[in-house]
Amino acid sequence: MRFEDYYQILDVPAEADASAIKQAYRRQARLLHPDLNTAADAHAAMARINEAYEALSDPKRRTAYDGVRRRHRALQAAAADARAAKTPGPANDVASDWKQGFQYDGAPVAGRSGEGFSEFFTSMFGRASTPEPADATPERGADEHVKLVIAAAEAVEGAVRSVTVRTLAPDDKGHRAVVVRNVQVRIPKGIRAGQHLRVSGQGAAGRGGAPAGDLYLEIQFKDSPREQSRDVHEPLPLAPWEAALGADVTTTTPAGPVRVTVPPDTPHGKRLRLKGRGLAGEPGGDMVLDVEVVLPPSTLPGARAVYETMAAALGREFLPRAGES
Amino acid sequence: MNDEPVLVGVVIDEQMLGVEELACACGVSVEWLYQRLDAGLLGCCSGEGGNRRFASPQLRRARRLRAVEQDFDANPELAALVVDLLEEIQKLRAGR
Repeated sequence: MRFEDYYQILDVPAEADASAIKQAYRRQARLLHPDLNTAADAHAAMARINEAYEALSDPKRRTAYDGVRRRHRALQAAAADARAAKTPGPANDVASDWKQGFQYDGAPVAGRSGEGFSEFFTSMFGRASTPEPADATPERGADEHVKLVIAAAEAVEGAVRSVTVRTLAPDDKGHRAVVVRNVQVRIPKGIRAGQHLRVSGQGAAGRGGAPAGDLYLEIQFKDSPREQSRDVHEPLPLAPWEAALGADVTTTTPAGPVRVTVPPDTPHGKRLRLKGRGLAGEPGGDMVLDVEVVLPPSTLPGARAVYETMAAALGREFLPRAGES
Repeated sequence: MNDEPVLVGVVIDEQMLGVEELACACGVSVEWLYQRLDAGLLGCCSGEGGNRRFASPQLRRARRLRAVEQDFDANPELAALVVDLLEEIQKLRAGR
C-alpha cells in the first residue's frame, strides 16, 4: 500500500491552516476540473485532490492522518540512516505498521460520487471505529452515482455490464465500512449518452432497518463527445475511384447493414447522413457517415504506374493547393 | 460464467424523479432544492409545486450546482452561472 502525502498533493506546507488548505484545494480543483480539463488523466488527478481535501479538511481526519504521516517520515528517516550505515534497518513501507497508535472515531467515508478513494485512505477512514447500534434511528441509505462508459453499439443492441460500486454498509462485525461490490446491470436498448439509469436498492445500506439508497448510472459513450444525441457517427472509408466515380457500398447501422449510394465526386471529409438510421427513439437519430478517402500505397503492384499516369494526365490542370501554378 | 443476478434499472427520463427523490439523489435537502427551483436556477421541469418531475438533465445540473457551491463556497447564482457555462461548453464540444 502506497503512502499518500496529502500535503504534497495539495501543494501546501504541513502547518497550513484550514483556510490555506481550502484555498489550495480550490486552486487545484479549478485547474483539474474534468468538465474543463480534457486531459486523459484529469479524472484521476481530480480524485486525488478530492481525497487529499477530504482527509485534511476534517479536523478529526487530519489529526489522525498527521500521526500516520509523522510515523511514515520517522520510518523513512530511520531507513535512510540504516542505508547510510549499511546496517539492516526498519521497513520503510508505511504499510508495515502505520496503524500503530492510529486513532480515528469519525464517520467512515466511501468517496465522492462513486469515484472511490485509494486503499490508503480507505484503510484509515473507510470503517467506523464502533459497531452500529441495534437501535439506530432509521435512516435511508445514501444514493450512489457511477459514470458508466459504454460503446454506442451497446446502446443500440442493449447489453449487460458489470459495475463496481463502493458503498457504506455494515461489515461482518457490524461496523459501517466501505464495501466494494460488483453488480450486473442490464443496459436497455436505445439509451442515450447523458441519461441516467436508476437501480433501486443498490446504494448505501440504510440504518436501523431503513431501506438502502439507489444506484444512479450516468451513461457516457466511448470516444464520443456528441452527448444527448441519437445520431450515430461512423467513418466511411472509400477508395479514390469510389469517391471519384461514385459507388454503392455496404455499411453497418444500428438497424442492420444498408447499401449506401456514394455520389460521384464525393470529397474526403464529406458527411453522408442516413435519415432515421441512428439510435431508435422518438424521434429516431440519423446515421452520420464521415467520408475518408483512403489512398492505395504506391508500393502496391501497379499503383505507382497509375499515379504516374494520373500525374502526367492531370498534373497541369489539377492543382490542389491554391496559389500554385 | 457470472451467477450474479442481472439487475434492471429504470431510465429516469421515462419515469421521472419527484422533488424528494431528486433531493436524495443529489444529497441535498428538499429546502435546498426548492430555493434553487424558485430562483429558476435548475432549468425547466414538468409539473408544478410539489408535483414537479425531473429528468436526467435536471439531475446532472442539480448535482453540478451542489458541487460548485460546496467546492468553491459559491453562492447559488454564481454556481448557476458556472454550470450554464459548463453546459454551453458541452454543447459546443458536441457540435464539433
